[in-house]
Amino acid sequence: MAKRIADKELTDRNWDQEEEGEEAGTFSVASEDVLKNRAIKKAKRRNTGGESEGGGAFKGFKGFSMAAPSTTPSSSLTAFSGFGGTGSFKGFGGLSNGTGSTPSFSGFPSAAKAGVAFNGPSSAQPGADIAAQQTNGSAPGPSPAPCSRSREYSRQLTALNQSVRDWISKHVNDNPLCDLNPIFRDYERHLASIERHKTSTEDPGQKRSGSAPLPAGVSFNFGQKVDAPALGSLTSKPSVPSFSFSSSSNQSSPFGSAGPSAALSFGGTKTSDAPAADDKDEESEEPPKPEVKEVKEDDAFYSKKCKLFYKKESEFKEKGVGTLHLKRTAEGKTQMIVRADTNLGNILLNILVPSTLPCSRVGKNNVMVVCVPNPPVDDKNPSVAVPLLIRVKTAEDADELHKTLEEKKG
Amino acid sequence: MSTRDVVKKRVSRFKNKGKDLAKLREKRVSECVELRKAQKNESFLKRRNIILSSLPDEEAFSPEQNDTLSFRIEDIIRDVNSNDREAQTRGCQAARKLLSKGNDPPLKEIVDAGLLSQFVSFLSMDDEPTLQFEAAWALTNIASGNSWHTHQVVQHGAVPALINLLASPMLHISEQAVWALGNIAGDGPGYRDILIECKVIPALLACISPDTPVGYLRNLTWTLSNLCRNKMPCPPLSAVQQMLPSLIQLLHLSDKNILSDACWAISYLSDGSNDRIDVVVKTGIVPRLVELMNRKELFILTPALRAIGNIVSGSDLHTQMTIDAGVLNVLPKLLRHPKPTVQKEAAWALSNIAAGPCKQIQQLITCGLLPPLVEVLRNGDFKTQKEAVWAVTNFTSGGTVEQVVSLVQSGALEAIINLLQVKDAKVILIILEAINNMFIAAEKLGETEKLSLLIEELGGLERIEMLQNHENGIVYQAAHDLIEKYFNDGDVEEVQVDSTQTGFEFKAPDVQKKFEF
Repeated sequence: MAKRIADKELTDRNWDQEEEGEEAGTFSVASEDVLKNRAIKKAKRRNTGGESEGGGAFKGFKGFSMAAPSTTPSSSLTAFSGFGGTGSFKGFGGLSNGTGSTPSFSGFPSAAKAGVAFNGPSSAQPGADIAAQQTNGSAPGPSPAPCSRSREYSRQLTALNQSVRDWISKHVNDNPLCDLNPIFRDYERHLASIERHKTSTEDPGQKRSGSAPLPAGVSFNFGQKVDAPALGSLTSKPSVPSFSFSSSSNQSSPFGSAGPSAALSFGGTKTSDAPAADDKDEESEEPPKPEVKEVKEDDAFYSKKCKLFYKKESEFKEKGVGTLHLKRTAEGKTQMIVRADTNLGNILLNILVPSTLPCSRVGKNNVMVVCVPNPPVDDKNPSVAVPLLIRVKTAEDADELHKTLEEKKG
Repeated sequence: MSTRDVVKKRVSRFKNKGKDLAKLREKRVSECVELRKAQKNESFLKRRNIILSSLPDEEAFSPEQNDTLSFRIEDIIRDVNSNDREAQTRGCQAARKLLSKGNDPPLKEIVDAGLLSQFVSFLSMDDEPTLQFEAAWALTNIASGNSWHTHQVVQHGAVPALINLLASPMLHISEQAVWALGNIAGDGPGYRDILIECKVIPALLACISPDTPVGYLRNLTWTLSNLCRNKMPCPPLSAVQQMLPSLIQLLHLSDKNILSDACWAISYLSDGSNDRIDVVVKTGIVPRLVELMNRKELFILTPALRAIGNIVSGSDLHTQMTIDAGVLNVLPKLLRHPKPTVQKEAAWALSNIAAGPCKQIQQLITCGLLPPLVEVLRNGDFKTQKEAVWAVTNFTSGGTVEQVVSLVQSGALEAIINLLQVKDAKVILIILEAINNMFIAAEKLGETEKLSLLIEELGGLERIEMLQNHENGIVYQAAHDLIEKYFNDGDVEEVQVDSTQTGFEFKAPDVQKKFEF
């Protein structure tokens, strides 16, 4: 039985004594040694950017919808029901890409938080209250009563403010010394664009004269040099706006920073999890990927982005994320190179593909090969053959890779 | 005899003046309470008598009260030990006044002076009511000290004599005996049970009549509450059953102090095993307790709420009785009470109701307990939040699938996710258990994907991933398992490897089911 008796004796003598408060606090992290031995799992993200299944989720979703049944279909709140469609989560993919980047959460995902309010009809007010507190002088302060603005505006503002709040609290929790200025600049920018959007879609009776109308469901980029014109070519659907904030908050220029794999590897991991998001990525909030493509492999006849694992004892350890290239050598043999997706572009694997190379299709989207790895994975046994797992984005890609290897080996 | 005349005069004064000066008396009684609180050294369960409610006022605040320093112990000893009634009375009264002074009364000195035997012998002098009264008062104040002091009083044989005094025709003497016995009972289960064996309860109950003044009843209720108090062991069941009817009577009066002490008594009696709770609820007192829980006076609300909290920690039947009595209409108010401890106790009670069968959980929903629950999850102080988290987990464990969905829709999931970074590892584990339970419900609906997505949108994934860094290994494991079970990335770790002769064969990891929208 889950009944619990009182934890503290209460008497006519002690009932009105001041109780010592208890702080919620934040938990302590385990030591390095302990962490080293822990297998850390990364949770699968399902929320893909820009997919229209967002709308479908609203329709088909009966169970865990957050919709308050009393709201009308057109209200902004039903748009929050179920799960926001556009890539709407705040994440720190940098968690598992531990190739020694600067603070572990310096990176930020491509599609960021949608700031969905999940608390039924009452949620509009808390969001609006936060808005009222958080607004800075430059943007016109939103009024605390959402009913005096468009619903869309409230929704976007709520989303923005919640994103900022959560982003700031997370980052300050992780690193109290971080510089939050980039975030505030991004906030100003986003707020301004929401404002523009609002005025352009509302009655002329509003304060400002409208500029070019922007469709609903616009998503905003933070920290990019690109401005408003880059926005808004998304089809208008009632998807929830998503905001992303600058990545490393303790560096002056968030992007193009030397932070190695963190910001950039997002591109890798995120797109690999969001197959349909590519077409939207041009205008989305992903950190610019050009750095990744600096190191080009000119004469590869086949290239594929992948994640490389090597087998150690009974489990697979990640070697890195990069691009696999297949090239023809001068002697007519096939060479397989996997180069890391970093500025350095260090080699994760560089082998010749012999005709005897064991190569198999594994699981959903992997190809397994067995060979002596170069560079070695185990310095004590550098010439031992080791199974290597190559994980690619989709099953089709895996099939393709496998087929290509089979054809071209030897 | 002169003393008799004195007695007559006093009694007549008492009869004439008692009611007029009620307010003044109350003030002195409250001063008494103030002094009690100020004396931190004193044992909490006892009360020293500065002034007795049924005492005539001239007696009460005679100027000599302030000149206590002029009494010398040696004079007192000489007087008390003499054979002269007047001297004995003088000496005893002087001792009483010394023992009644505000700061640091000389309890030990009086005991060490060997005066207790004499005082106890004075108690049985029915022909000397003044002496009886002064001796009873002096012994009351000694018994209000620490355990050693109380022990001294009992060792000198005061108990039977005091119990006899309960039957005194003099109200003030009887009341003084009530008080002294309350102090002795409050020392602990040992003396409490000795008093019970000496049949103190019937003697006390005999003092309750429609004519009994309020001040007397207040003292009596307090003494009864001390007889209900303490566990290890609990008071004998037979004693409890003797006291309960009178306690119920007292609970229906209107005097706030009586109500408060009677509620305390019930809160002590309900703090026990289910059969103890059973004895209490069978009196039919539950509706009255719910009423008293709704009072604005904190000193009544607090013990009533505690009593109800104890009762709902009992069986489902006990809990149902409180629900039938309307507890669910009062709890939302208490969950929003300005005092955090009240919120906490209310949340604790709620968590125990949520631990009941789904019929009771449904009543929680119907009576609108979810919104205030979510509010305290969000805004309560941490101790309250802890109780609220228990409520959520219990809910997810005993609730039907629809009920769990209602819970999620109320915002509880978001709120508990936002608590996943707290220091207290137990709380984190309880939250993870709630989330697991929600998935079990989701499985029955075939909607685990949706729940996963929702958790993701609520920022839960980052927090759960973070928990894998927690210093507590159990938290790490729970978080890890949760991700593995419902947020599996098809991670390589999951790949089983069989080596065969021709090379390595790999079993594919389980493919996530996709839900069609």
